[in-house]
Amino acid sequence: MADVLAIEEANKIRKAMGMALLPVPGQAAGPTFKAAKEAADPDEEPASTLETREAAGWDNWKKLQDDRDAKGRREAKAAAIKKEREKAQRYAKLEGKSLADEAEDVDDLAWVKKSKRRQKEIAKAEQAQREFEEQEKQALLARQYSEADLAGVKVGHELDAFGDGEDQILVLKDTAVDADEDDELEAVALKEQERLQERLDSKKRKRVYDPNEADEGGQHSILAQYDEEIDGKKRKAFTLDGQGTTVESLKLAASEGASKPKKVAISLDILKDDAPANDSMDISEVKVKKPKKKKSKSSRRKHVEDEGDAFQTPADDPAEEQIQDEAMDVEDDQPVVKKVKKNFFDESFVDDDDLQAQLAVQRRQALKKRKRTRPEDLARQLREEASATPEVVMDTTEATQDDDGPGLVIDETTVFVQNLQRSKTEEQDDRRPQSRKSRQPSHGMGSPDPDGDVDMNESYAEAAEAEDHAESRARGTSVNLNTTGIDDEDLVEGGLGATMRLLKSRGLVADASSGDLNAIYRERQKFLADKQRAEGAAERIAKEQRERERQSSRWNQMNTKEREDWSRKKNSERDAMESRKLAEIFNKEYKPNVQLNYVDEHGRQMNQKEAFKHLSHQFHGKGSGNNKTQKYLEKVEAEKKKMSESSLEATLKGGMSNALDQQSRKRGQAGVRLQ
Amino acid sequence: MIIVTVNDRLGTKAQIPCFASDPVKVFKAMVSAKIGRPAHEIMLKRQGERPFKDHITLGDYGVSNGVQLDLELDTGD
Repeated sequence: MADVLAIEEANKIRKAMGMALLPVPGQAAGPTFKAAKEAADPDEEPASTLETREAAGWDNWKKLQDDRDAKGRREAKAAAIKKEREKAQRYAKLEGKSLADEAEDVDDLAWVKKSKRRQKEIAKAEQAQREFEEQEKQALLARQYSEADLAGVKVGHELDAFGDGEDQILVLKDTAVDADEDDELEAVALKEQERLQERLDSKKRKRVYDPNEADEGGQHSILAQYDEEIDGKKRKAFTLDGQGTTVESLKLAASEGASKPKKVAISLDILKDDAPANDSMDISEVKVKKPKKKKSKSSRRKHVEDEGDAFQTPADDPAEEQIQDEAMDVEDDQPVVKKVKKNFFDESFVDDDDLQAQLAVQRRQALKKRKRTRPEDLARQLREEASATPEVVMDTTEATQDDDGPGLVIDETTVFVQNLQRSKTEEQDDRRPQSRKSRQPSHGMGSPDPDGDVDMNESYAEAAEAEDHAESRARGTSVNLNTTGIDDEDLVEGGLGATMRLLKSRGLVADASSGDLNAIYRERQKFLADKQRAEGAAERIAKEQRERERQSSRWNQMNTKEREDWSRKKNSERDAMESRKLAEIFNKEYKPNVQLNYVDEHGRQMNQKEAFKHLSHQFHGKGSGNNKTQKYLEKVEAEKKKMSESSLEATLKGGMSNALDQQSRKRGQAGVRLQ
Repeated sequence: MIIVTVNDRLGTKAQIPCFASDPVKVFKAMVSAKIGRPAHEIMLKRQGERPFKDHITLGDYGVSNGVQLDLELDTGD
């Protein structure tokens, strides 16, 4: 609280600084002109400007201060009044008579007498009190605290929880005072144990359905796992009834007696069988069913089904089937041949089945005839063949090869065997050609012409030379055949066929599946023919149309320019149609057979890898190094050498040795046995 | 007139009567007269706020009757 002194102090400083002086309380002196002004214009709103507010500051402060002072004074007065009142109350209690005031004015003797009497009364009262207490004690002693006192008290445990021979101290359970529950006893140790057990159980993962859980009661509530959540925890408790048992057990006994049926004693004597058990059965008791014989019909039907539906047999008619069976008995090989035929044609020849079937039938008939020939006939035939030309020999051998199947199969083995047979026949007539040659010296045997035409362009000297050459060759071959039984190798000069044979025999030309190639070729030819035909037809039609237009009346009416336009338009239309047709054909039938062949500078066919390498080298403008090139050249050399060497070279793989190898491998023997 | 308390919480506490329209500079002069420390060494601020500037009045800073201001040593920076 700033007092007057402090304000005056401050005013001194303010005066020095030239600031407005602070108003000093209780000193009206000084420039107090505000009040008059305020009173002068009452219409001005009070405290509307900063100045008026600051001017009103002192008054406000004074009012506040006065209020505070007044309040202080009031409180002080109230406190004083209260104090006074309390004081008055204190004295008021002490008012009235005291013991001394109350006492009558009696003499000492009387007082002694009175006091004696009073003492006697007191003693009597004490006696009575003592007696009463004695009686109480007696009654308490008489009333023993026993089991009966515990009747109706609940115990918060299971009855089984109290083990035998264990003393448990039960105390009253902790509950709220206002809880309207009965008193409940519980054992602290047991409670602790229960809590622990509960915690352990909650840690265990509880399964919803436990098939191993014994279901004795038989009455499980549905979704028993939620019982606890819905009804709350089941509390185990029992109530003492004061006679050493529990109320629950009595109830349970009563209900069980009502609900459970009485147990019936069953004697187990029946299980004790006195007769010794015999494991084996008496034979007379056993009956075995005879297995029924299978019907032959079913098997036959199966056989027919095996032949397939494409191959038409008269299997539907049982009579005809019978006939067929008989026929099979007579000529055993026929159905086999039939079956083979079916398979063969079904697989390899897709187109013109009818023709192939016809051919096959013819071939089979011829085969049968040939088969039926007797040994003497065969001998005669052989003789005839010996006299006939080599072509015929070839034919017969082919025919004999045909015995295996309807088609002609040529592999190394057959060629080899064929050579052996031919050598025999040539042995027989090796003299004859020589004599014939001597008779006809002008014949050029070196020429590959099969019909033995003389090359007229040759000079006589050349012809003579060729003859000599042929003679020597013939001698050589005969010698060769005598010793090895193997035909001479074909020569390149023998013509295209011979060359082909040579190459094939050496495995240099792959024996491509000619069927496929043929089919592809045929298809292509057909496509080309179709295309040409379509083009031709289109052209013809166009021509006809043009003719018709020329003769129409409209054409005659048009001038030249119009005619040109007209014909151009028509032509373009026709072209469009034609090209559409062609495109259709193309889409439907054109199957291109694309093969990329790469040939290197040595004329070899390159495989994919090599071709890639080659192209890569070309692209990068940089080839292999010296070593690699050397290796490659060596490889090429080796290949060339292998190609050019004789088929009779046994040391290296190639030509004849291929066949030998194959045969020996097939038989598991080293070498081929020559008959 | 208002009474403003300045306190440096180190034992110096003074009550200064002034006007709310007084600039802080005048107020500081009065404080210096009261506590005996040169005016330029006095820095006044409300608790937790920035120091008062000299040419602004106490009223502008919202200082009214019974307000306590923190008194600190102004080192000049």
